[in-house]
Amino acid sequence: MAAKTQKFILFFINDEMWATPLTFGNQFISYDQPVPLPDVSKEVTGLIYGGGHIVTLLDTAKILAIRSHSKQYETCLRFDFNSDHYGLLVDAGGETVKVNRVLTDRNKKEFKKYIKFKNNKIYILYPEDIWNKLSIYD
Amino acid sequence: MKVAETKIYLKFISWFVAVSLLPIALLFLIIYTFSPDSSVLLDPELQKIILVSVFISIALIFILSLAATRHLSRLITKPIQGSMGELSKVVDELFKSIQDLSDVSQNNSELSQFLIHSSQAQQKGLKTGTKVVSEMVQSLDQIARKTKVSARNTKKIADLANEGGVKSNVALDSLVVVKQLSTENQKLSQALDAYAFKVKDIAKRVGILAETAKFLSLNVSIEANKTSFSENFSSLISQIRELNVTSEQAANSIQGLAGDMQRQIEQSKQSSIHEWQQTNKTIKVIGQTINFLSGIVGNVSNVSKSTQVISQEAEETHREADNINSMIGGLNKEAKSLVKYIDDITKTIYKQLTVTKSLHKSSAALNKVTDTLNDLVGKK
Repeated sequence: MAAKTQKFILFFINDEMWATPLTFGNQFISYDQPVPLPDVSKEVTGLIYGGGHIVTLLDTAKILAIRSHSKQYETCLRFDFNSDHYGLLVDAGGETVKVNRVLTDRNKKEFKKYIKFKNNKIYILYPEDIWNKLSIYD
Repeated sequence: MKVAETKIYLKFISWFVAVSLLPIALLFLIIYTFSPDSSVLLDPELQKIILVSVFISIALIFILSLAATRHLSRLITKPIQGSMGELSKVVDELFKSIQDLSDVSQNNSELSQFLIHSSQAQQKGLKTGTKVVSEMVQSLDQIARKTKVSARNTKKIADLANEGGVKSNVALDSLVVVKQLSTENQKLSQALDAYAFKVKDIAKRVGILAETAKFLSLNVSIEANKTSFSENFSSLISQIRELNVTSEQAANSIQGLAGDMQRQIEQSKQSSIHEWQQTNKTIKVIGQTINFLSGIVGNVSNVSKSTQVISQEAEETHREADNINSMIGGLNKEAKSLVKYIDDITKTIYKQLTVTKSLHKSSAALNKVTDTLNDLVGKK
């Protein structure tokens, strides 16, 4: 049985490469000033308007619990989930890659899945993992 | 006490007594000689009468002698008394005159001493004056020499100041040209700054273009992976990626170049502004220097005039000092003569004093004689 090929979009945070699965709504977009939202968790940066849609921006570094070096993001990777549009704040966009295998790092408690690209481990941010970490739907 | 008069009285009285008693004594002697046995004198009555007569005659003689003596003495002493009175007055006058003469001599002596001291002081003063005038003449000579040197130096300073003024004017003209050039340079810098700003804007636009190309490249890659396309589209994606890389490099290069350009233009602008400001300051300073030099020239001219006046005055003062010196010489001679005269006067005064003392002694002796005579004539 042939292995199922999966596609991932790579992006950088603090010169570290991360990956997210390729979905229909994926697109790298730029933004200037997000509109802040009241009474939301600290991972939600605000709202922007792009490509005819209202996009909710998520602070990827805070979701991953890493300290971001960037003072202000200018690029986000848009993805769709449950007909809503979200954007992951990234330092820079990367290539779109195809892989045959998704691996699991059992030593990690969250974001365990990873792929191998150019002999590097690249951990994957699945939207489900994000919603596990971030309770956006009350 | 009228001693003389009393003596006269006594002499006269004794003479009258002798004269009055001598005939009686002769009578008794004759009687005793020629008739020693006569008993005439033995009669007590007669003896009494004789004694009373003798007594009365003696008394009369005494009274008459007194009266005669008094009359005679008055006749003799009256003119003497008058003369003595005159003599006393003369003696008093003489005494007063001698006293006055003594006072005058004393004053003359003091005056003479004072004159001697004054003459000596005058001589000393004249010596000092001569010395001072000599030193003054030397100083004036030096002043005259220095003044001449100062006048020459002042002229040099004036020439130098004039030259400095001319050179400063030339420098000022050059600086005005430099200022104009700086202004032009500043304008050029401003123009370049505007160009740099435009280039920076273009670079920014290129950056945005590169950013767009990057997003295009990324998103085209994503879209290409969403569905399968032909080899040609994959080639197109590769070309877009290359375009992205190239445009990013070009944008970086242009931005770096624009940044460098703007920095250099900014530096040039700052230098130009600094140069302009410095030139302005220098022009101001040179203007002040020119004014200052003009002031120096004016003042040096005044100083030169003053120096000439000082030189003339020094020469005149020198001549006057010579006159003073010769005058002091004359005065010195006069003072020496004066001292000599004063010495002579002093000697005369001493002689006068000696004479006055002798006169004083003579007056005292005369006074004594007058007193004696007064005693003799019975006048106080």
